[in-house]
Amino acid sequence: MEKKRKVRRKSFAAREDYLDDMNKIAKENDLSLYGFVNRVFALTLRANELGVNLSTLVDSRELLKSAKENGFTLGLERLWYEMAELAYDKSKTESLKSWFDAGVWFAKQYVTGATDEPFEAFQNDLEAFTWNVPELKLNKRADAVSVRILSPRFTEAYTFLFTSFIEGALEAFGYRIDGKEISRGIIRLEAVRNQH
Amino acid sequence: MSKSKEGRRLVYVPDYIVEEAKRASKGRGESLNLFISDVLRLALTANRLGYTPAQAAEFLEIMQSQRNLGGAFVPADVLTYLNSKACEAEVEQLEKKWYESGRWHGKYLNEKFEDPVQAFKKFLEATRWDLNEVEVRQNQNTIKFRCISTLLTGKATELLAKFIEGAINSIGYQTAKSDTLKGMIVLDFKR
Repeated sequence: MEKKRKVRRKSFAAREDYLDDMNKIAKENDLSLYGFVNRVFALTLRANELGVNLSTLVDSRELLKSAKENGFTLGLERLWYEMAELAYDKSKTESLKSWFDAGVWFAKQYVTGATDEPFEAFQNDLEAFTWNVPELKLNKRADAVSVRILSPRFTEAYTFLFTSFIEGALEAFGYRIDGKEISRGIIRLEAVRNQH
Repeated sequence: MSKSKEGRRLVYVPDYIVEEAKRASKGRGESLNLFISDVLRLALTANRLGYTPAQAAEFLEIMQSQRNLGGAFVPADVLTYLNSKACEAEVEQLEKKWYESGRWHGKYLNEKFEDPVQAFKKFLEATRWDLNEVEVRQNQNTIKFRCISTLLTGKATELLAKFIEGAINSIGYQTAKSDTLKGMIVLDFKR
């Protein structure tokens, strides 16, 4: 009979409360704590090789949940650009309006919600949902907001449509556009608060 | 397991795991203790989110692939508008674009995953929250694909069907039957 190879073991110190919780989970899954901890480490190390870590899991799940609640759909960037081109060619005004309205709707959730800092919450979510945009900066001062977006992959139509989306969102926050400079992949907006 | 000092306990694991953990923590510029603590804490968080370690790893791979593929968020209302407006412009051209996107997606999954069909199913489940159900029945040479949605418009259903067809075709299966109704996609493929 073949002799079973002995696995050499080493030990490490870990927080007792974590281990107690892991022990419970291990039992629920018919595993020993040793077996469960091994699995967790093996998978973490594999994820590490892929260049991701478990905190990405929490972030990604939160991001998807938030995107779902905020009425966003995830798909392929290139396809969105191509569709935007087709729609924009067909009807510029209507296309711009549809993006503007989407911006208003998106921002209204923060304006009318119970968040203490609605603009900051909006800014955080917008940055998260535009993970494909290399640079997106919203700088809020006392009565003004400046926006700077750089994305070399944006098509011309998509640049104008996305600008319209941001304009809609700023309007919902009570700002009006005071200056803008738009060219393919580059959006610069200056907005000032409406006087009541 | 033995007690080392108050609040901490020693855990035994195979020595190769400790060695790899040392390398990984060094790569991140963290101490081994911090790395271990982080791993355990996040494993518990993943469990609270309803993931087993294997499911967590699977979800991570899907999300990472989505980023690599150039995933982007778009407001759902805008997508509905784009679907209808772009369809008015050129239905065939639009269907072709969705099909080609699907092909590209499938090709990537085929290269990256051992079971690209299941990976594609998981991708749809994780990212297309407008789908109530994604069912894949896979035999040796056939695949039956079924998606149900109460939210998709007729055009959006047809375009998504094209996307799925493109993906599965590029994984190596031909379309045997395609049946779409508003909110329902039934596709049969054979190798």
